[in-house]
Amino acid sequence: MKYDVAAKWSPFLATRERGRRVREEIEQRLAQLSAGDNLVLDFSGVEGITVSFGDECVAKLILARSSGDFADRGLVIEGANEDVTETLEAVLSRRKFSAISLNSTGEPEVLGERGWLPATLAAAIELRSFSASDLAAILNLTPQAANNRLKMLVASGAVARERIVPEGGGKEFSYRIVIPVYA
Amino acid sequence: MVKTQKTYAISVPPRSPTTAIHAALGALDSAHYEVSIMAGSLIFAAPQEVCGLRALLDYAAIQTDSVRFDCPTDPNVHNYLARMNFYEGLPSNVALSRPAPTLRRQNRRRNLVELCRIESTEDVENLMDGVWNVAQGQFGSGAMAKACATALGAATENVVDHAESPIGALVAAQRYERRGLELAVVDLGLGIPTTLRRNALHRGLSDLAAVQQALVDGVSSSQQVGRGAGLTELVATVRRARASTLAIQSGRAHLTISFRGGHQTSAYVTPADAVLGTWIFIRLEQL
Repeated sequence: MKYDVAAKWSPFLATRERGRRVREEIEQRLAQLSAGDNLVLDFSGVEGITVSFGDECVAKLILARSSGDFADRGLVIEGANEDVTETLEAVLSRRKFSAISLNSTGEPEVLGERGWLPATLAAAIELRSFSASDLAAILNLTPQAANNRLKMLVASGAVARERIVPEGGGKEFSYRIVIPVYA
Repeated sequence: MVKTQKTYAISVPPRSPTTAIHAALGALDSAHYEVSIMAGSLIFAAPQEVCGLRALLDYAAIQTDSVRFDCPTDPNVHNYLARMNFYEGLPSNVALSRPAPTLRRQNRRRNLVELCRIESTEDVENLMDGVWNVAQGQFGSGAMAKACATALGAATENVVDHAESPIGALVAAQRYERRGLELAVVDLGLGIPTTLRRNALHRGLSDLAAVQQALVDGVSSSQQVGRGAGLTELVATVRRARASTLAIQSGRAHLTISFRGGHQTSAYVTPADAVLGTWIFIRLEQL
């Protein structure tokens, strides 16, 4: 599903109040999705956004995902021009968050805090559907380190997390890449 | 409240009336019955004067029963004020010394942003669009024009969020052949020092220190993460131009930052009269 920001709102977006309203509408769209689906935030036609708007809209979406909201579905950004991308980079970096933006060829790029996220994203793309131990194995990490990375990756919107009940019982999560070109 | 029969006359000097406007704003109070703003001798007005005079006029109209505005006798200045929509939407208790001229208007969106009032999110977004147009006239359609629009949005959205200005924010812009693009933003809200000192981390700052501190990324009136970028964004945009000036006046602080060929100079002044609200002036000469 696509959410066309410019068509719904305007070419320039400002204030926390507007950011909150757009975010609430995006959350409604996310709520309509099934587990494993993704929502593409299409910023084509948006000429510029302020830091306040970007923080209230996009950074707080990521903040909510990091707390587990809509963690079973994906969220990516598309069509952001240089100016919008720069502002999103700034608001995400200030909160040490990341989001995924699709470039003109549909390839994912990390916005905001990078660190180990690009390498983890590449591994997730290779695995497509996996468990934390799969990721730990491919990146040669401890299970705890893999879980920490997965938490950030899920918050970024690139990966959906679903709870499964393993054969032996207990609690486990499975992860699936939900970036459109790989999903 | 029963008002005394107290009148107040403000004599607007021919040029650079901003200091006189600040003094008048500080002196006006609701005890005044009538105010006369005598701008007949004004011989030059640019966005800063347009915003400042209209802020004074609107504030006087709120504080008193009746306001008389003595229009500039110079027809060029009178026409310019009309062209910039200075006489549009005047409060009902304002009387002009002569009628506002009727103009044949041309679309000059690449050259100016007429006086507009920012009170809502939609106002900020429309302003950004207007600034984008005028900045494209000055810098072309590249990144600088968008940066100008975004920076002005960031500088004015504070008014919507928390400035508590009784007149909103007034904004105007004009592109000049020699001087470059000039933009002015005036609000009569709490001002930067008062707002910033709400944050316990900045409670002890002087007005000058508060305005300086407000330019630092992440510094705001709240301690929440993600806030306090508006003025930082403005400085960053102004810095992108090869020759530019940013002046911020608020409370007892007047800060001017100039950029010339990669060099930055700053001047800090404590004005005689405290400045009501926040006044921002930007001149972008060359990219």
